[in-house]
Amino acid sequence: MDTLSMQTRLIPAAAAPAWNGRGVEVIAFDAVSFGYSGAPLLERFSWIVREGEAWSVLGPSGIGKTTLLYLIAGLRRPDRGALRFRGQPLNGPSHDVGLMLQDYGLLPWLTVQRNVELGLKIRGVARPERRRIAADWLARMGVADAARRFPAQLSGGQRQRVALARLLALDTPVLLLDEPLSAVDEITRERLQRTLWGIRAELGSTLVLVTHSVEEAALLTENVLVFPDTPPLRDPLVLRRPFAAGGAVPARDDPDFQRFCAEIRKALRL
Amino acid sequence: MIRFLRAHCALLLSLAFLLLLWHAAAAALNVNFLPAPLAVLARFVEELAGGSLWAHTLVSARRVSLSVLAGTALAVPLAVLAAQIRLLDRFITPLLYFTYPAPKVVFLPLIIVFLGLGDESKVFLIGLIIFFQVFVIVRDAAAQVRPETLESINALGANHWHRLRYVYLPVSLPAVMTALKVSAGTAIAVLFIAETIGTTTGLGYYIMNAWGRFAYPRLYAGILAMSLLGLALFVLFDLLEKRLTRWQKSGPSASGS
Repeated sequence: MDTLSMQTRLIPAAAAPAWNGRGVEVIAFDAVSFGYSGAPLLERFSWIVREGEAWSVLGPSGIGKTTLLYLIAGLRRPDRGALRFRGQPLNGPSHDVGLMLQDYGLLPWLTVQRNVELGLKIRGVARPERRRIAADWLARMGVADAARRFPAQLSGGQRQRVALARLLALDTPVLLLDEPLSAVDEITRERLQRTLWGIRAELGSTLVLVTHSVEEAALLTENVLVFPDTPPLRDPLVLRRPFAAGGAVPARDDPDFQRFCAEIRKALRL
Repeated sequence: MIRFLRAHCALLLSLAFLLLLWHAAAAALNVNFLPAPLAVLARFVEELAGGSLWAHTLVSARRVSLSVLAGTALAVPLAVLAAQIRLLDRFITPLLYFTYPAPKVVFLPLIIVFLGLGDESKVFLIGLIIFFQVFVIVRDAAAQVRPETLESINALGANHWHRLRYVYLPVSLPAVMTALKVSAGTAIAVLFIAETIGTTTGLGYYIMNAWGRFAYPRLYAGILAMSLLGLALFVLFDLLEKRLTRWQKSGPSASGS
């Protein structure tokens, strides 16, 4: 219910303050090759994400979508080629990039509150400030009453919302999300999609979203990167939303939205 | 009080049975080396309040606590390192396999030669036993940390210290507590042996001294004190375990506060 009510507080994308001027290159893959023990996932892969852009990454499981996020998060280094973050070579995790993992990455031995505070603590944020920010985001995600529980005491959907709160509490200009809404029911999913939409509009974040849902990709992001059926990823197939971004969440019965979905399905050969 | 009695009914019954058996045996045998339980208890209280028993108990408790702290404090970080650095593990594991099965207490004479008759040799010996127990268990627990957990905290910008504090330490705490509970008995046994050689303090000395003087009620008081020290250690680890690993037993239905 919190997730719905917050909708009214948000600023539409058009009015959102540009975080550092649009069109600036944030993430750049320059002929990057990467693989695990001889099995190549990316081969001479080039891709540019600009400031404030939202990207979905779609494709079958086990194709290297999560690895792509790991590379951007600085958790893996390219085998060959260059990976730049704002023009600088990327050497390890950056404080400007936030990552939410598929299994939410919450530490089971910390309470929800302390899980959300952890990233802030690592970044040296003082305790009262930490507490305030964590409580704030837990409330916005509608899980404030779970603050003193442990992750094992929550439902899958609640855990996912806590993980989102932890990510957003870091206030990073770049958000990487690995199937962030996979474990929630249909109603919560639509609510959280609105929340994500609103947050992006409010914060002007650059977003890379790995998802299995064509609708979610078409709804939340205006750029879609389609992985092939078999690795390695060489020449990425990129689709761009034909209708303008900004304002309210696109209606699901909007013909432009449905056309975009159909286009993505075609690219996925569904 | 009533609730306590109800909850621990079986325990109290078995304790009463044991004391009754002891009392009957003492009455039947009527020898000076088997005093009745009430006489022992009276003497225990008397020795604790007026005699030197309390001081000796404190000395023993200090020695065993220091050993547990030192052994654990050294074993945990080293085990975590060994779990992360394959080269270190390859070096340590063979050493461990050679030395782990050897009863550490047989090194006591040598340890005394090296470290003297003071507390150092006792703390070293018991600490060594704790170290081995904790090291083996923590290394295995730390090796089982899920890679996703590490990726998640690494993505937050964690350094070595953060990984130790927020991942490896909590993940191995239940195992550490199990290791300490298991080692509590061994630690007390080795403490007893260590305190019977070349020292005039500690419960081991107290017991052997009473034995030598045929002071049987005092001997029993000493044994009781040593048993209670072992029990206290076990209960302490048990409580610590429950306190520190609450997250493990919390099912989805448990309440939040």
